[in-house]
Amino acid sequence: MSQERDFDEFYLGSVRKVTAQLVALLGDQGEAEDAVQEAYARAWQRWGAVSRMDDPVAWVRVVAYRIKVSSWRATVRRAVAHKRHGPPPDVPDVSPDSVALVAALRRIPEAQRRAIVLYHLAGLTVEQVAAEVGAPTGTVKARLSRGRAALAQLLGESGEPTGPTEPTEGMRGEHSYA
Amino acid sequence: MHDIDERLTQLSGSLEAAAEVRSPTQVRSRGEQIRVAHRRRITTMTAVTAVVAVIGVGSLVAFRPTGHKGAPVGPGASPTSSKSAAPRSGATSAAAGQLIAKVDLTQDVMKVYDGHGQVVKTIPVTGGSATQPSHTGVFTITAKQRNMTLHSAAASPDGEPYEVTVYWVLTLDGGPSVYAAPWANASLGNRNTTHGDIGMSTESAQWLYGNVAVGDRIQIQ
Repeated sequence: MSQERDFDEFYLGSVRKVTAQLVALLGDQGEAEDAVQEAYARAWQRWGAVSRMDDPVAWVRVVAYRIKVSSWRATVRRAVAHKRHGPPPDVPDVSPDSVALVAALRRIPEAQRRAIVLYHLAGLTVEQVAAEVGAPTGTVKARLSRGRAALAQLLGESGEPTGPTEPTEGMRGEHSYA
Repeated sequence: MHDIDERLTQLSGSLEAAAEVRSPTQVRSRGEQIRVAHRRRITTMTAVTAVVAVIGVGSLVAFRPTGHKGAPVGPGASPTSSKSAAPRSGATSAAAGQLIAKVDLTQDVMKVYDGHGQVVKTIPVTGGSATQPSHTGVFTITAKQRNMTLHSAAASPDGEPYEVTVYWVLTLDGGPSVYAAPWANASLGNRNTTHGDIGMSTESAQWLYGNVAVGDRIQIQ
């Protein structure tokens, strides 16, 4: 029973942060939420091991990210399901600035985006980011600075939030996860 | 124009506020389904040999809708797998959350139903005593455990302290647990003697455990 309490506390205490990070990583609220929920379900499935890890939140984040990457190929199937179930329920509004920023994140290379999200949103150190993505710290630093520069340029040149329909397809087309 | 760092910090807060939080019970339930699905794959081989035995309880499982629409091994994917998986098909219907059993605390019986509402088994039970009555309502099975240790601290703060390990345990969301209570055999089917949980014979509890899924619902009245 206390295992269940532990898990519930862990879930309620971290799900908002992890979801925010995945939304920033994936650029899509619904897909991020699905991946996050699935990752937590898997965490419960092996809670004995996950709960003893140094950083269970990092485990959930990595699993959610992998779930999303591997389900990238299932886009067609998802489109069919989407048709069947209708549009997703309304999500709470995020500020126009956030929308613009998420849209800009979608347009920078995946590796830079991941570094920026982990460093700025998840609050990891450069060393922790390096460990999570499996790259040297120098590389992570370079990705961070290039990513920031790219974001500044994207946000500076557009000025206004990018149109709501454009980024979705653009992102899928530009960055292959295969 | 804000500094990029500052905007990213604000983004974090904004996205967190918008994030969906489901009930953790629902998340665990999903985890249990994955667990059951894994076990099904492993037990499929042994289940083939059990098919003959399964016919005895086939009336329960054979008519249940085989939910689990997105599963790679869907209904009819292969005759062997769907037939041999029958005893566990309850697990795959979890999403449907069908009402699988009703407990009548005045008669001290649990009636277990198939997908068509036909009673397939009537199990003598014992429920919570007059001073600690069982909660009533319709509850979802959130977990199945082969054994579990109960402590009096959680179950009955003011009663006699006890600690006991019970078997074939179904945990209900917000309701009593259901498990084998062989020490209460004399009460089964005629008296309510527990601290609120639903007890039954070991044989019945094991059978029930094998034929329900996390996500199924049990009514207690």
